[in-house]
Amino acid sequence: MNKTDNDIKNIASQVSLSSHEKTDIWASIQKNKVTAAKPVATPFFHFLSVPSFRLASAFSVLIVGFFSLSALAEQSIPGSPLYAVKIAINEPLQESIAWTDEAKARTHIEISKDRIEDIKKAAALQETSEEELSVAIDSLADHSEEAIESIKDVSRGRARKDIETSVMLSTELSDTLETYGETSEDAALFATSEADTAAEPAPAEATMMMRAKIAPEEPEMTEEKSEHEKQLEEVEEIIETKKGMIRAYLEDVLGDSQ
Amino acid sequence: MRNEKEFKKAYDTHADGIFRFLYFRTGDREMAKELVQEAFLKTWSALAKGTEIDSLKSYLYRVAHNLLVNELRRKREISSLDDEDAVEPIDEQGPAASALSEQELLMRNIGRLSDSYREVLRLKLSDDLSTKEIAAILGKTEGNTSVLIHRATERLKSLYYNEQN
Repeated sequence: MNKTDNDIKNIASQVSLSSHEKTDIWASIQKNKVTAAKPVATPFFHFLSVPSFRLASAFSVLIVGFFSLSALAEQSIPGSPLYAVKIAINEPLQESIAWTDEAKARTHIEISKDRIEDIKKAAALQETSEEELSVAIDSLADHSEEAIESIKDVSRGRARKDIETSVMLSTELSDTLETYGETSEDAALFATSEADTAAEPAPAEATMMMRAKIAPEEPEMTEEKSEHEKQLEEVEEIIETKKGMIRAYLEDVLGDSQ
Repeated sequence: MRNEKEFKKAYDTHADGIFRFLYFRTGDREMAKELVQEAFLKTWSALAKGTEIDSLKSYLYRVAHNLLVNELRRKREISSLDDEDAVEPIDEQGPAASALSEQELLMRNIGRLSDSYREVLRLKLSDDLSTKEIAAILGKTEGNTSVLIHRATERLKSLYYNEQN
């Protein structure tokens, strides 16, 4: 008698546990598994045991960590450990997503504005080293220069609309550079916290003191200037130079368009 | 597979197949039953520890296979015999085919196959496992396993044929 595949399967399938045996084995399993912990019944964390989810989770943690660090770095001032993250990571990222000339100009104006605030805060604190302050000063020089170049690029087509935009951006940049002479609330806070340890001057008096610290309008040359003071003068020179460049550009572009 | 209900369902579905797989290999009903119990307990423990199990069926068979190997090794050590199949209940020189039940004859013929044929056929006939599942349990490629199953089945049929002639 020849056996077919099905015959063999049928014979094999007849080998089985009786219902009684099956019940007994299950009862023994139940009895013995009481000592073991129950299978993971926390669906919320269960996904962490799946390799692909584990990878995705690790990636998410990295992303969240990166953005948190990036957000913290935004508040940093020269001399802070996170200041390098702000200058070397956050800002290049901002620049990389600005595709048009106008967007590039706006980004550089914003960064210049930020840098002026950084310098003012650092000056108010008077704890920043020369090297740390020079990082911010160099950055201000670079970004204000880049802003001017981008503004020039905006008007390159000589279309009326583009020229109007470039003039508007020039004004924004000029106004931004002007803010160096003003005392911002943030910088005043830094200065006030310093002053708190000594006498507590009236708010108006504190603002005046700040102004004197940050940008003395008429520095007295009776004493030899400190490195810090020299650096702050350098900032003023940069700002004056850039303002001059903006004026020259505006004369050029408005003269041509008339 | 995260609760007892699902585990019970898996037991109802696969207990017979696991038992068949173990019984074909040991020929010892009681030992096969003990190993079925142990295989399910080990799987439960693995789940309790949070082990990720893609295919419960394949996992159960792999556990059963490992338990079986350990059990056979232990028996071999006890009896100090070198033959891996020392516990094989089927004797080559057994009684006439007519004196055996269909199941006994099947087991005897399977026992006469080479190790590799025996292993794949036992898995194939236990629970009608797919070639992919058998390959995963044995750690072989699917192509290799498919060829083995075909050849083993042909060899088993020829043994039946010889038995009758």
